[in-house]
Amino acid sequence: MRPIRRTLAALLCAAAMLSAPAALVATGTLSGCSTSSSARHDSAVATAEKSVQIAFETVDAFLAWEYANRAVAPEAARTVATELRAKAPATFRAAWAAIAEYKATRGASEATRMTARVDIALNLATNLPWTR
Amino acid sequence: MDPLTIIAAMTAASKLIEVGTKIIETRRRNRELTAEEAEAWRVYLESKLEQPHWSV
Repeated sequence: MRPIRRTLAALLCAAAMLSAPAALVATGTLSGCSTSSSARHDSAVATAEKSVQIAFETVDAFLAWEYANRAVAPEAARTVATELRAKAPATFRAAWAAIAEYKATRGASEATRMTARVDIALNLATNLPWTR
Repeated sequence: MDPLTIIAAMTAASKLIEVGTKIIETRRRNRELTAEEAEAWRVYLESKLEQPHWSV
C-alpha cells in the first residue's frame, strides 16, 4: 500500500469508532425515551448527539484532506468526496434537527425519526470505502 | 518518494491527530447537550459547511 493510501486509511478508520454508538442507537437505547423526564441524562439523546458529531468530524476531515490533496488523491476519493458534498449537508442538518425535535417533545414518533436520521448520518461516515 | 505525496501524508497524519482528539473528547461525554451547547454546535456545523472544502 502506498504511504498516501495508508495514511488516508488511518484517517478514515477513525470512522470505525462510529460502529459502537451506531449499534447503541440501533439496538434499543431508545426503549426508555418516551418516559424520560430528564433533559440532561437521556442516554438515547446523548448517544445520538455524539454519533452525529463524530460522523460529521470524520466526513469533514475526509473532505478537508481530499480538498487539500486533490492532485494526489486517488480517483475513488474524489468520487466519494463529490457525493458527500452533494448530500451530506442536508443529512447532518436533518439529523441535528431531528434530535432537537425529539428533545422538545420526548415523543415516540420523534424518537423513531431521530434514530432513522442519525443512522443515515452515521452511514455517510461508516460507508466510506476505506472503513469497510 | 514524491514530495507531494510526503506532504499529503503529513497533512493527513496531522488531521488524524486533530480528529482523533475531537472524537475521544466527544465519546467521553455521558450526558446530552444543553440547549445552548446544541445551538452552538449547529452554528459550528453551518460555519463548517460554508468552508471551501464543502463546496460542490
